[in-house]
Amino acid sequence: MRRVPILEVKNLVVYYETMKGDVKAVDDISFELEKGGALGLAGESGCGKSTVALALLKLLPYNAKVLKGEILLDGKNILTLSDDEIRKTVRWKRISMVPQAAMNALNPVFKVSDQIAEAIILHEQVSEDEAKTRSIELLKKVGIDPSRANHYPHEFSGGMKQRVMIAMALACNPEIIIADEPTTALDVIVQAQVLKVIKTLQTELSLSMILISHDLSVVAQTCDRTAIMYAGEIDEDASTKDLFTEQLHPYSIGLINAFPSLAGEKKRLYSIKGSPPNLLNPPPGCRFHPRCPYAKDVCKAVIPLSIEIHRKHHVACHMVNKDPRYL
Amino acid sequence: MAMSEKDLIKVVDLYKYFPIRTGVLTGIRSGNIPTVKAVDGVSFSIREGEIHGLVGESGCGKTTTGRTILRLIEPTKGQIFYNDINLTRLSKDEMKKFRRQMQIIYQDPFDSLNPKMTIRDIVGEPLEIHGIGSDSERRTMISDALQEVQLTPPEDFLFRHPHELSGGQRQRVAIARALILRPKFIVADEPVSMLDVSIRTEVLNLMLDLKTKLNLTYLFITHDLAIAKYMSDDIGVMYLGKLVEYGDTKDLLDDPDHPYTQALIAAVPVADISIKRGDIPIKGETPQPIDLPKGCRFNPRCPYAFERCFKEEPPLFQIEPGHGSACFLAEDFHGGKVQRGKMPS
Amino acid sequence: MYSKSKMGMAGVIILLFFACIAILSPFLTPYDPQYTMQLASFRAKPYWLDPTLPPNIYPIADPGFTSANSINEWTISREGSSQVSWSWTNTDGYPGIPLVETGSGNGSFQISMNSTGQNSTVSFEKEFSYQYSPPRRFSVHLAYKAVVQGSASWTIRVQLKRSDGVVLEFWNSTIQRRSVGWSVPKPTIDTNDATLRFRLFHDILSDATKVFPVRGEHTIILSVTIKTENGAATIFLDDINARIWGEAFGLLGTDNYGRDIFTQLIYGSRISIVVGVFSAVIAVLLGLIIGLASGYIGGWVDELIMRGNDILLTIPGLPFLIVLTAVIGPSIWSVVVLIGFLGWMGIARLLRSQVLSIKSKAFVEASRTSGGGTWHIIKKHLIPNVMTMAYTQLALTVPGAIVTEAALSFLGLGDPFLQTWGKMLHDVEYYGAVAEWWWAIPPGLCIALLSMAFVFIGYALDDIFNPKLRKR
Repeated sequence: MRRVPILEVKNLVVYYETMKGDVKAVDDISFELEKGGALGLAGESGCGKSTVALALLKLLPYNAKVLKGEILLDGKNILTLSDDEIRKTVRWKRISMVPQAAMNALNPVFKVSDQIAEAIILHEQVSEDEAKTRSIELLKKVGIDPSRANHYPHEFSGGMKQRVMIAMALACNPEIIIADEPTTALDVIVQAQVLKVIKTLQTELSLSMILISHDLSVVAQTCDRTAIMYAGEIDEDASTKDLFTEQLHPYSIGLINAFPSLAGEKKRLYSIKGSPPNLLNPPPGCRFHPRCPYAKDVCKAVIPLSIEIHRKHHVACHMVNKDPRYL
Repeated sequence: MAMSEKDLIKVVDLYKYFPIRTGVLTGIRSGNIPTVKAVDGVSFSIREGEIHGLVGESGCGKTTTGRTILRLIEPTKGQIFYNDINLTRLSKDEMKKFRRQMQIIYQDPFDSLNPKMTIRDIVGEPLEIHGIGSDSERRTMISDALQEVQLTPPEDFLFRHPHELSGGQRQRVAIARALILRPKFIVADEPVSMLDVSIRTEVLNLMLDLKTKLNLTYLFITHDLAIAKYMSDDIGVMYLGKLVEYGDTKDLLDDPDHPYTQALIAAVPVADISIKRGDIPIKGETPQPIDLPKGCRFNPRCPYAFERCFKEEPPLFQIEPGHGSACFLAEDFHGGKVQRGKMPS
Repeated sequence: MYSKSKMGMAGVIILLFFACIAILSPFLTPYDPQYTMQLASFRAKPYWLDPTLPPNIYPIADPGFTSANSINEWTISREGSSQVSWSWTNTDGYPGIPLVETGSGNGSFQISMNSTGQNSTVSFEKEFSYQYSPPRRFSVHLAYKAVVQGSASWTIRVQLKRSDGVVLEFWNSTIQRRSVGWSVPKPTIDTNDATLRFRLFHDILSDATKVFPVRGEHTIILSVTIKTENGAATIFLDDINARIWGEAFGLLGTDNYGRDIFTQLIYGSRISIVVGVFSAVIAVLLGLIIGLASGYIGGWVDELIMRGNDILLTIPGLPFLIVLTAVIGPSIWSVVVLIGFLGWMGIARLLRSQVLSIKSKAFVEASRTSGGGTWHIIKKHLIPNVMTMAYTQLALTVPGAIVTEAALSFLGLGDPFLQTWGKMLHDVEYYGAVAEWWWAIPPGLCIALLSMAFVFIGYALDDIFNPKLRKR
């Protein structure tokens, strides 16, 4: 039975206006998040994944313009809502976020539980006491002992601060949580612990999750679907199992094979030549074509559409799509 | 080049302590000054032609070890041998001669290049310091170095500044600078951790190719076990300033002995979902190397800790030739596998 | 590319403007700002302010009788014996008074009576038209020589016949019997002379407004009376110069000494730029050396230097400068040195932190790994990375120096012989000329503009060298 998508992004286009021109950060992307599912948005730095996250919460900076597209939450386009409506009904209540380097987002002069309680009070009409009790509960859920609830951020280690931020994101019982590079600044073992917390909570609370990371292995371990972004476009979107067993897009192939793996035999890693393009002036056609070993003329001129190759496995590549119009 | 049996580098009982507060009054105060025991008794050797990996999480002392080997930081205690010559006994001038043979590549490709200098000046600086070559000879050497790291054509890069290059290109400039004096030993301190994933492989492959071409020996410092596996012949695992396990890469990763190594390996996410992930057997986070516990410094987190672990510090026990582990449970190892999960009586 | 470059460009343009003025000063104005005095009446107004105000008027065209035609501007008449003769002569002329004034050279006018027993008065009249509002000062210069043989007497008189007919006698030599070499009247014929004013108007507080109260035609009358009893006499006259002192002069009028204010403004730019830049250079050089040393050496040397720096920082700058200037004596170079020596502390601190931050960067250690020694690192890495901040600090310190110098001069502690902009403001305040806005405002405006130019340049430099501060 087809699961109902709780979040649908359709043809989203976000440009940043800068002094040097428009940075085409997100250019016509579409994806779905199933209810209770975990979608991994993977890609290198500068590919636009953080922009997507901010767009979902309407937290884009002042010089970002959403030029086109819809973001459908339960069928309703939240891009049409006013700032006030988003703040009251969507942000933190239905969708919340653990931002990048979140542990630096804690205010050093307030106790940790107070900061979580503040998030609750801002969105719901509850008493201070109730908010405080709830925040201690949340800390317990992420594995922080209630006795530490009245400590200050500097008394926590990096991993624990990250967990506090996760607790804060869960403060108002959202349905969707976006985790933007939740483990990037953390050590390996702590990273594993935090990922475990995230995964457990997701199952326990039936959360739908979007996990953004440049580390494919992190995405592979936590998400059941993976979308690979490159230079503002989604190149491939499939279940994690399908993607890692059979990558179709040349960039996905290159990316997955560029990760040295702890398991398996030692083999020479493949490196994609060149570097990601400047999004002020991205290459015409398929943005990957300057680095693609299979690029043909059509790739330099026409932007490939994302086509469903097998069930729920979308790829945007002329060579894979074999669109009769272009071959 | 195949690894020779000769030890190029030997580190013997290396200690580096940092006093916590420096100031005018520190010298006057007597008594115990709290110190950070960054490197607390580390010994290992690197064979000529080997890539020796030094692995650990942040704060374990691997970077300090690397820099102390090059005497960029003076060791508090201990000796460093290069080709059987005791570097710790050399004067500053004598050391300058050896600096030609030992170089370093840093983690941050931006910080390691002077933003005001051109690429040509950056790569040519070592030549200038040692007074090597005439102007035209230097120009040739610099161009050759840039070609070696695949920054071609060199003329395109000579007169640019670091901020005009991408991260990967900058790191290659750093490599070119390190290689221009034709050193024999290079300390690579997390050389790719700040680069994009698709660029990392290029730089790593470049380092491998250069090693073969130029007969280099590397000390490869990283927190990423997968990269350590890809690059290293031997690996040493550090925790809170001590070596807790060392061995041949394959042996160590396939069959880790020390509980910390096991936890590290278990914690690394793998982009292969067919592999089932178990739980991480240890709890808590790595503490600061200031207030160290008595006995084995891993005992607060170790699932197998028993009485002796809280009283004595375990030395490195040899499990097989070339594979050692600093754990009392390894002491009982005689050829077979030690059972884990069972408390020894 | 640089968003602040507009500001920087504005700063550069203003600075270039002032620099051109400073360099081209001698071409922009013929006067000396300190020493060319008495160009017009004191506190004369700018020429464009009031057209009824008189400029300097010299009714006599050729006061020195340099050519034979010079006689023609005078109307000469005689009263009395016809045995008197007058002519222009080339053989004698007023030689001037050394260090005071120069004579016009050979060429003078002689009146002689050779026969005895004669009595005659020769009068020279020059009529001129005066169409302005009354001036405050009027003076007449005259040089005369008398050669007397035997017994004779001579008298010279200077008068002015006003347009309304009133005749004022400005000078009377009284009857003289002797020969006299070239002389000038004492006291000089000048409405500034109180005795003259009292004698003419019985009012010490009057001035030349009483001489020219009404517009119209006025006449200068010079009369020479010779009486020969038993001899002959010849009187020579030269350098007859009448002057109505201008009430309007130049672009910005004159100060209390009759010096051209516009000239002072122009030359002031030289001093301000030189003082500002030199002081700033001294301060930055000191700050650079000390900051570099302190930052690089570190340890207790660093502590020592920084604490010394702090102590010096607590010294209140201006009061200290005032005391020092009072002790050393006012001179523009001591001001420069003092500002420099009291201004380096903040810069040293800034540059030291910059050095500390560079010292810890990987590329410095990389240089050490390659074998670089202390001097190599300082030369190749520290100094280039510190210089950008040094340049910015240089630009930003100049305004402070300029203003400090102005303040010192304003308080009267600057060089009394140097008309800086600050000194001009001091003069305005001291002489109570605050209402004369053409004198009071321009110097302050120039100080502000020049300082602003340097600040703009400093900000633009900061922006260029610190890309992180740039707006998106």
